[in-house]
Amino acid sequence: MRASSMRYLVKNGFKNLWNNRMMTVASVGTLIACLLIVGIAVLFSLNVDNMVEYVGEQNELVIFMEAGTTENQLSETRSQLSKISGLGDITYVSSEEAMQSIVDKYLDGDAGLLEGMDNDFMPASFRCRITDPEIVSEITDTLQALPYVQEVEAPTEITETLVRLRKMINVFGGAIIVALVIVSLVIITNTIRASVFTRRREINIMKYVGATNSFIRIPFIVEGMVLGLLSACIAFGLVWAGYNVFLDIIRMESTSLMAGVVNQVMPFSELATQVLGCFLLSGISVGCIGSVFSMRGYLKV
Amino acid sequence: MIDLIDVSFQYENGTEALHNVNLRVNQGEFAFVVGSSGAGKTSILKLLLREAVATSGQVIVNGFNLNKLKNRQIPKFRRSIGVVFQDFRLIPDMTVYDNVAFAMRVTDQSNKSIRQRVPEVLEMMNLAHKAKQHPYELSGGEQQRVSLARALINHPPLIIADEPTGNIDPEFSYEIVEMLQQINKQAGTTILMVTHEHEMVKYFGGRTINIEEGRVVFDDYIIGGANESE
Repeated sequence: MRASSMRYLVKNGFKNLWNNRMMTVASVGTLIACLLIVGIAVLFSLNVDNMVEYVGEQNELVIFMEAGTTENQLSETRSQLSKISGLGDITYVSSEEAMQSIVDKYLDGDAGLLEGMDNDFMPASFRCRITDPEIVSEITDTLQALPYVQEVEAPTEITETLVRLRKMINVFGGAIIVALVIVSLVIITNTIRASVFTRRREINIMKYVGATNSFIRIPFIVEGMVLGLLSACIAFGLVWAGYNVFLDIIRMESTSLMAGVVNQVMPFSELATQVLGCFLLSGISVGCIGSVFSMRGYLKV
Repeated sequence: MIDLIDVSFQYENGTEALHNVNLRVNQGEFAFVVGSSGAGKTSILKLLLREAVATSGQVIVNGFNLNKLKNRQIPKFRRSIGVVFQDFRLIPDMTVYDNVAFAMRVTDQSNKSIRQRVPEVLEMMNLAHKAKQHPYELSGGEQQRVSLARALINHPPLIIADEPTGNIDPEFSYEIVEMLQQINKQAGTTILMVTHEHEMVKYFGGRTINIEEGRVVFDDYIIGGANESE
């Protein structure tokens, strides 16, 4: 296709938008509303993801070794631990260190009370960070089966609740997004159908003089894409502003107890590319698909 | 060139519109197609423009076998035909110039050839001075000339005119037919003109194909009586 033809067709697409400006404004408005809801859902679920990760990482998994485990056996266990995925830093705490920490923590440094106890009164242990909270119970099972391991203590309940929460939010968010994509498709299809309808005479003539279907479609695809693009950009701006206002509010309101969690709310700059990408992609593709839908029936002459 | 060989055509609801039609129009001919309404004229046009496909028999137009034509070849085929409609089918918010240029624009032709060809055709149709006007500012006869200019713009070897004088005052009707005849003589364009105005056919004469009840009942040359009716 010639560049001059392409220019002509693109110009026609913009002309369609202007000629149907009431429809254009109405559909851009509705699309923005849809994208805002999608944006909120995406931001919310990204943040919950992040928090689950954070809270999960705060938890430690403790592996208590059997009394009398030798140095060799310990290093063997250590190397086995390092091969298990889902575990982060591993710290070894010997019996003596464990004892000492009890003395420091609970007995105000007075070791006398524990005098006469066996050296391995407190078992040696490995403390591991959890990097993948979702498989914590499986990890626990694996660890339990290792030789010389006496007991594994894992915060399964907290992490499982969090993981379940995250799954629920993701499913909900997904459902909202799917519903809104359908709504947006219907809106765009309708708008373009109106514009196809006002141009049906031209389309009819184009068919008779031998214009190809792609030639006839291009202006309407341009129209749909511009609708999507425009809505995506405006919605992105609104989400950006809204998110920052929201952050300011919770920062001011939050007590020091919650500060740890609040600090985990991601700054918009970290999310911007994802949100923008999601908006542009959905806006433009919904625009394209909508216009192809709305042309059906009019191309048959 | 048009060649219909043993063509029958049935609508989806079962109505038989054409029955074993054989018809051949050679390159450079001028033919009238007459017949009462519902006789099958519209069906023939639909087949010739590949809006519909014959139920049986072969339809060959400008060397395209329309029974076998694939959908994506239709545009190429249609570019070899100029069509003129009874209702002009001009785009109201475009000027005369743009209406004519439209047929070139949407078939992917260069700006340069558009700028060159459109004034040429407008001049030929005596419309040069109306180029900047809109269709609603023109008389029926002038509008039909615009539509004729649009049909001619891509140099088609065949022009199909469907009741081109149907919406025009009688005094201008003859002018349109004269223009078609002129195009036929000068450029050797084949012209098939569907009409129900028997008076006009008698006036001009020439090859006349009469279709009644889906059959060709008359296909011969009649002698025009240009002088008699005046």
